[in-house]
Amino acid sequence: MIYILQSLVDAISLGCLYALFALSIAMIFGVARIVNFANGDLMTVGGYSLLLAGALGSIPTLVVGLALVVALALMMERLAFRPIIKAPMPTLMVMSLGVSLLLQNLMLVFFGSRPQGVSFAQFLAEPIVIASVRISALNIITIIMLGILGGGLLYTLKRTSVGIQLRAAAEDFQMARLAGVKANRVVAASFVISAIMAASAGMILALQVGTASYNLGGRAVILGFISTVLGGLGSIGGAALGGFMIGFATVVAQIVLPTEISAFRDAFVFTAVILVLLFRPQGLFVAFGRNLRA
Amino acid sequence: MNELSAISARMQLPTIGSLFLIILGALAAIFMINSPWLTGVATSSLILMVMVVGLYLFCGNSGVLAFGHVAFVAIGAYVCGILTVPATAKPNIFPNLPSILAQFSLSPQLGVFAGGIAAALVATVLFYPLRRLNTQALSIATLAILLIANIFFTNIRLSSSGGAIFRVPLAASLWNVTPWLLGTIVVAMVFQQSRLGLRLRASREDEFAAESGGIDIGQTRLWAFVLSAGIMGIGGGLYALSIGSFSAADFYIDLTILLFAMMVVGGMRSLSGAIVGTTIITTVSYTFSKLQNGIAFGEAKFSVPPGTANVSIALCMIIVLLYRSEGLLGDRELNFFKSWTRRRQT
Repeated sequence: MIYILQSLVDAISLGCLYALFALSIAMIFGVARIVNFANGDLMTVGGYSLLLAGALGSIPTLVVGLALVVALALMMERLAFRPIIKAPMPTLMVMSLGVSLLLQNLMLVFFGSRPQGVSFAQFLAEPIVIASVRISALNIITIIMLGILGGGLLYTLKRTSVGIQLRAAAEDFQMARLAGVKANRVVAASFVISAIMAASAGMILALQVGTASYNLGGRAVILGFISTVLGGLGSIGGAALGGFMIGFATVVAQIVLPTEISAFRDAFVFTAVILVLLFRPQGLFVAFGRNLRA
Repeated sequence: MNELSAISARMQLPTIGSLFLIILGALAAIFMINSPWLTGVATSSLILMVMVVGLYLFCGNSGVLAFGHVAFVAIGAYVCGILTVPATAKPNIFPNLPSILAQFSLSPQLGVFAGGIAAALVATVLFYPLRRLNTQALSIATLAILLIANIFFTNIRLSSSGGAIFRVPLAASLWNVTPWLLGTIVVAMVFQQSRLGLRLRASREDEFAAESGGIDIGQTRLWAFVLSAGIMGIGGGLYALSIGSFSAADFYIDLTILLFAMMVVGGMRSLSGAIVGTTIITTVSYTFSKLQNGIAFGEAKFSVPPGTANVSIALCMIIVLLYRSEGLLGDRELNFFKSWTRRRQT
């Protein structure tokens, strides 16, 4: 019973982390139709920013790290994507591959290939014991993080003027522009929101592993994509749900599969994703009748 | 005579000739310089070129970015590796191999061929159900294939050290890689000029128009996918023979991005672009890797930090995309014989 409860917390927390990955990808895709591989490197920068903790103290580190990632995302949007925003989607996708290769290797040049230990808020790694169920504090933080960021995103999208413009642009970019939404500004806004998600995800990842390395976000960004496609490209809530499902399924596969083949658990999860796509190529949670040609 | 020029136009013989001229010219130069380092670099560049042509055959003609093609390179490399390791060494290296496979070993070139066939077969089985997916979902599904292949080859208990293979005969040389490359180029050109290739290119320009014109996009993509996976497998086999020992990590995101950079810089929509892009990127990247390892100027040794070679590749890619988002060649194919053929026709 206790084992089941513990695993349930693990599953929910991994699901929340993957949902964060997916949100970060889906935000930009939804608005600008850019599949941004470089988001993984934003996560890496977020992870590396925790190294500042020794010099700055913990709360300033979080603020500076977040600001750094947001600034980098805005720069990326301005210098790499805005000039070619009208290009067909594969071109934008390849551009994001190029930006990702650049950022990842710049970090390799500056920080070297060896992982650097992150000593930030050690108590997070200690387990909390509630009614003889041992839960790592980080798991709880991950779940709370998704709650806060998800809630914030929901509020922004539903209640603020930027949010309404974002939703309009995600629905029909051309129509939104005709109605007076400033295209560049709304794309930049989507990059900012995505960067906030990426920074948080990167910090959580670095805390989980205990180190920051130049390829910290590499796997995360791919998981984010696969989640986004599973949830339905263009549906932000769907992407988050898709991410949650993949994270949850991964932990379940880890428990259910016999130990000889549990190393292959991700392969089983991805095969399941492909199977789902075969029956719903447009993803699980896409609104009916959406015009995919636009 | 008319018939001959029709065949020449259909096969784009001038383009094939131009590409052969570039490659053979470069080989002649390398032969004259006769440096072992340069020969090694040229061999791996030609092998990469085989892979880029394979990638182009699907991505360039269909417009679908297939992120999973490196999985077929892995299949080619593993099949070729397992088949060509000397039979005497097999019991030590692969204790778990079925006895049928353990008793013989193939000649290297047959191993490469087998690698290509195996990759094409696996591609057929995998792509058949995927062929109905829309363009974006297909991209990501192939990415999932790459992840699955990586997990599979990392964890498989194949040799005494898990998924790593070693003691593959180092049989790849400039002279036996070149025919594979030239053959690959001819296959890619014939494909893109064939009825199937033209249909696929039509679907790239406008999926909906092509479909209403009676083109079965899924079926057409299936053929291209299988053919290009076969070429990737051949590239993988050659890679195995050139490096001797390898593991699953060699066939993952890094190689995928490298191949995409090569394909895109020259222009994703033309075969010549694939060749030109590979030439540019390999030149840049090997120059910087040489610098990374350090160059001696008399007493002083000069070197740049690791990662610089990849930074230079990334900058090439970004700059080309910013200023010529279709790649250096765009839609055009090289043709050095233009004035010559025109004079003949008049």
